[in-house]
Amino acid sequence: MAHAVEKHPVTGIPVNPEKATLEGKNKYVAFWFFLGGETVLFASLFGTYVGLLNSGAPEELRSYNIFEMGLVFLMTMLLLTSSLTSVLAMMNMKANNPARMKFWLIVTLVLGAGFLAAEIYEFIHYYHIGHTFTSSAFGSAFYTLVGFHGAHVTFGLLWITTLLIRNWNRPIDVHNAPKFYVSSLYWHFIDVVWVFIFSIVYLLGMVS
Amino acid sequence: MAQTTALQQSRKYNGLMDWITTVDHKKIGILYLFSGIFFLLLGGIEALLIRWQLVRPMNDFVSGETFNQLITMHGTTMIFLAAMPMLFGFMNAVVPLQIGARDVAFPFINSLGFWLFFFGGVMLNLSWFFGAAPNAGWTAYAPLSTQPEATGVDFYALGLQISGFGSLMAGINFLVTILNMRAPGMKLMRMPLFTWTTFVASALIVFAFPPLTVGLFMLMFERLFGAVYFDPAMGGNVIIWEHLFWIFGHPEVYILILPAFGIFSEIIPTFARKRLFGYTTMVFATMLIGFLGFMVWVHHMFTVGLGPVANSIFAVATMAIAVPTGVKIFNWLFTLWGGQIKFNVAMLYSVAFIPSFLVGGMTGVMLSVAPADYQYHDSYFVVAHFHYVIVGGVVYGLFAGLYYWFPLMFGKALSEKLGYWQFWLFFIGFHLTFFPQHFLGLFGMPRRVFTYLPNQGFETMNLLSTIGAFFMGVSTIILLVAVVKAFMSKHVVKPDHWGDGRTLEWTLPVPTPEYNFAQTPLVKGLDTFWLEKMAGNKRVSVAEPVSDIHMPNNSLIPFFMSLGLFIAGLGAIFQKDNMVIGWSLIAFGLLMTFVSMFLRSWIDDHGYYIPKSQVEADLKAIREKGEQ
Amino acid sequence: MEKRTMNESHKQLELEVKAESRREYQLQLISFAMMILLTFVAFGAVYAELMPVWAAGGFLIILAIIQVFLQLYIFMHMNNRGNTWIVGMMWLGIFVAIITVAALRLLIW
Repeated sequence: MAHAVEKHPVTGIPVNPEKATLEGKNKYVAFWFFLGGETVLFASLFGTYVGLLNSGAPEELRSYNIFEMGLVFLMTMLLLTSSLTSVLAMMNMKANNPARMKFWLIVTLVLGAGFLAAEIYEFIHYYHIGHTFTSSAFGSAFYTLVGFHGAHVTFGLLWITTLLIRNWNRPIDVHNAPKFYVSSLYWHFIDVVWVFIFSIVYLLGMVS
Repeated sequence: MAQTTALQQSRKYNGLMDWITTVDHKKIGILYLFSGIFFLLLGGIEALLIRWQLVRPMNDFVSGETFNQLITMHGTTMIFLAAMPMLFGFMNAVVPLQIGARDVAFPFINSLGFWLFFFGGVMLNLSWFFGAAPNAGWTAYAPLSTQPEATGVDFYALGLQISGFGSLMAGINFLVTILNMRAPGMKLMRMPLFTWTTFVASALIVFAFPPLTVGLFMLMFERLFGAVYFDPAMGGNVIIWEHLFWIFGHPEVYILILPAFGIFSEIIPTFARKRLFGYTTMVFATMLIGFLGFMVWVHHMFTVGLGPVANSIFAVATMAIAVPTGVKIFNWLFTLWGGQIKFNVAMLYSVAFIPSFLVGGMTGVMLSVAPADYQYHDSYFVVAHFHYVIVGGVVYGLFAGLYYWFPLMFGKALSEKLGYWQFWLFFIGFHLTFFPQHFLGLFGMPRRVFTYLPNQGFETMNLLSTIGAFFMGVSTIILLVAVVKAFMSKHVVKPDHWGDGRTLEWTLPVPTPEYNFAQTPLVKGLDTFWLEKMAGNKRVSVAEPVSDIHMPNNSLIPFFMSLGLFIAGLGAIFQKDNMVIGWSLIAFGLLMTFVSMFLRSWIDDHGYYIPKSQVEADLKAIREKGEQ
Repeated sequence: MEKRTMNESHKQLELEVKAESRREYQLQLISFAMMILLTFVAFGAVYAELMPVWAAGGFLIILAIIQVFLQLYIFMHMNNRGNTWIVGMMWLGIFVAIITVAALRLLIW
């Protein structure tokens, strides 16, 4: 049965369109639980990384000699800002402003793509100086952790792009709102992971 | 409603295509159950070969290398491909019915979870045909598992990875189903115990599988793509694998045993015809076991040398688990006490479970004493211990559940007469196999060794053990005969087959309609069907009038999503020998998976409606049949 | 008459929605500003080498934890009504995450 969903008189869509239907609510809860699992997934990667920090790497390829603060700072700002623009997109979604929602999502995508480009540049640079996936246990652990995060960013970009194209000419409703909403949760979570990566991998790596 | 009815036509297939595309939790439950039984037979044959090799000293039935492959595949198959899927089978078949739901929260993902498991299982077993099965033990400790010539481990890493994704999805799906899909009045503290244990086990899956995912990725990268996490020469550390594996591995044991506890907690009250003693303590004991399950994994690593402080902390945490488990044992005993007990096969297994599992629990407490563990470690004592908990707990639970829910799942009943034979042969065979192994361990026989010398006092016990294993083999054949006989029989059971059903699944007609409940039931308390029976009602109260029922469409996408990963996995293995073929397979497989995901996102699929008239006609037919 | 009150109440609602959205907007911007600030402090402290090496780990991790809390509770609205199980599961995840990292940091040789 399609239960009639109460629409807000001002916005014309339900107050929380992402969980107005049982289907939406299921997606919302399930995605949070998935993020709970992802927390442990990244914890395992972080644990491996701190366990193998600088292990097997020659002096010139240790964390304090290879990481460059400028690039990491730029990447952090890009991803952090994209987290905000994703929030703005969701606020506009709830206010039934599809045009502005799309605008902010595109900004999010651009920032995310910028982050990814910077990361690829960074990896190529490391490759040239000899810090690779197979060069030492430190290298393997570093690329696994940061690469897993980068893969998440890539997947997020593809996901949000697909949603945007698919729903470009559609109004915001209880079918597509949960999809947009969980993709934005995913995007925030990517930033959560990055906060630990820049703190533990990069900054702490530069100190020690 | 009329316009919504016209919204979408149902997409249906017949025969094999129906099974491949189904999103019906009852059919997916059957798929899980039979795949699980198939792998149970494979694992069982491997066990018999192991026991035949050990029947006498200096036997040369199989080589040491083959023996290693057999023990590895036996353990891996039984845990990941037999026990878990069979439990998922019961969860799928029963949990939505117990909470009064029409389906799980995510029928599509349910199907995806099954196919991922299935292809993962196939991939693992393909290793037999590609030269060598994995031979590093089910725990795949590095550096044993990172030896380049142990090519079977490639299949282990990829196969378990793929089926692990499926388990994670199933876990999240059950959590959300149980939280969001309950019928009106089905408060959390009115849920049947099997639903509760499914819930807690699912939460464990969500947190336990990610470390395994990471560990398996690392194993794959190390073996196939040149990473060096576990290579001490390159700065690697093998203990990382042990931690990741056991952070997963210990909760995994509870993922298996908790649902089995749930099955016993359904069967014992039903056939003691008494409310479960201490329902609330049962629920909290389940949660406590689940929580503590994450804080004890180092007891598998006592002899690694992590130091007395670590060993002591984890020893105490391990001993603490005995408390909630003991609470459960007493609750089952008190449920039996004073009940009007009916001893059918399901009940026999449940009653036999209590002392059998107790032995395993006691040896568990013995093993938790870290200094003593240095003596038991890597001996047959450990083998005896975990078979007493896994077979005496989980497998008894699976058999009990099979006899108990078979009528619900298939509309036919398993023969009780064959069942008695099956039970007694299994019960005797099980104890004959594993009880002597305690002593073998204490006498000093190491586990995972393919043969032993004569005149060391190992002969008799090993002979007994092998005889017991063949008892279990015969028992399993009888079980198969019983299943085939049930399917051949024309006799269709009545609803509430046992006559003493307490929970909602027994209120359903036989066979269960695809929408389960024509009208969502109204739950009035714990064991709501029993309450209604006691109040003199034949049917449970309903919470809604008859109306159109929304159903999900069948889909072929989950099959292809999983097949894509399977192909990519094979590519990852082959690229070591042949770059071109390997990488093309990887690209093709991943493309298939991602295109499937894209299609799932792109195509609007809002399901279809079963019209009210159809539901009313079904209801009428059922009532007429009931009055005959 | 009836219609007018309807209109008025609608206007009233509109104002309320606007005020609510402004509040929300401000909250999000403030939390973003705090995140930026925390990031600057973290990078600045390392850049200027303000900390002794032994204190750096704890300090940076505390900053990261605060920032992540802002993400979870403000950006992601983890604490919304009806999210009891979500909060519970996330905290369990965080608990398992902590013991996992701690074990891999401390319990290896």
